[in-house]
Amino acid sequence: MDMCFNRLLLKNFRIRVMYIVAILITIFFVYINSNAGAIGYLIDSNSKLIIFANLFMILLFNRMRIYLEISKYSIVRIGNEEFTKNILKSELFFYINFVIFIYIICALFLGIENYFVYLVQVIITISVLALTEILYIRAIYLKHSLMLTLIISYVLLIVHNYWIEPIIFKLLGF
Amino acid sequence: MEDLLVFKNISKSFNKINVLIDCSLRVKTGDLIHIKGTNGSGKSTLLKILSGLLESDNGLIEFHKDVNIGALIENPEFAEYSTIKENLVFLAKLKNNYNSTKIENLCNIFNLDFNDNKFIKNFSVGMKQKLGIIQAIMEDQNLIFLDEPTRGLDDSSINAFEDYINQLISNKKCAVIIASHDMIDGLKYSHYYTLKNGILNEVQD
Repeated sequence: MDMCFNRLLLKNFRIRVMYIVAILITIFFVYINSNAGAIGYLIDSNSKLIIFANLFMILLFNRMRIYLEISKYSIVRIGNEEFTKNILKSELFFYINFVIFIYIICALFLGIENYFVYLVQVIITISVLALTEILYIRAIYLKHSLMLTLIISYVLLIVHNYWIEPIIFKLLGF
Repeated sequence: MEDLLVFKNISKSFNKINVLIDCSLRVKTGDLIHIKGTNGSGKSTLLKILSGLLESDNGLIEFHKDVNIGALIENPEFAEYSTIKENLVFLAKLKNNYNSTKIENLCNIFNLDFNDNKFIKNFSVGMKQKLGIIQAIMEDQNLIFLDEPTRGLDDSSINAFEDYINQLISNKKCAVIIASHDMIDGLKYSHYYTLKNGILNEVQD
């Protein structure tokens, strides 16, 4: 069913445009920062944070808007819990693909110096996105404050960028 | 006739305002129930609770084990950048109930083109309403909730709707609850209720 949700989402013109814009912006930043060397430092921390946070938020808000459009009749059919579970699966599937695709682009432009670093970074990023995702879905369906969730998500991305990733990399001896 | 739905003492309040107070009803196969109420009387809230879109503050709701709910509540909502076909196929596939012939027939009855390439966002209120009705009945649902179903429909669509619902009920395989502020004259109701000040009362003929 998650594929079913994703197919419907990808038919949305805005989502398709944003998906392409997100990839083009990423390629552009990768290109202008290509002198930075290793994949983990291809964009300096600040710009990387801003790009990822904003692209992620825009994509997420638009995808959520579509989920809200289709939620009423879907919930009647499969129930609230099943619906939320399927959105989560669908979103995770989407962002895992999205992140992996962006990293592949980075790798194509810059080459991969260390496969292990590359893999760890993909896993960390997906985990952070997934966590943010869960917060959003809870906000929408359990009527938590969206503004509070937005702030928490940004804080999470900042923490990810400045602390989680460097600490894990340090622990791994990179 | 089997009980499809029994609810007892359903109450709901928003910001300490009681919208529903101890509402109870028994729905059997073959029932066509009309719930009449003014705007804001709580009709939509009651149907939302029965459809699982909202939780009641208290009360008991029991469905038959084989119940399959179809609902049109408040404004019809669809994926705006998708076509009729994409939306209906998506919904039907959620429970693997996709039957293209049946859906196409329903679209014909309500004068919609199943293969229309236009996005839903370009549809009129009436067209969206018809689509909302179709999605509520397209999977042979046996318990159907319709909230103001004729809103925005032209006369021929209202006639088509009345004929279809009357025929559906005459087959004695399902039950339909219609909530509206006015009577939809062409429908052959089996029970009449009013919802006023949060209280649901049966009206005898």
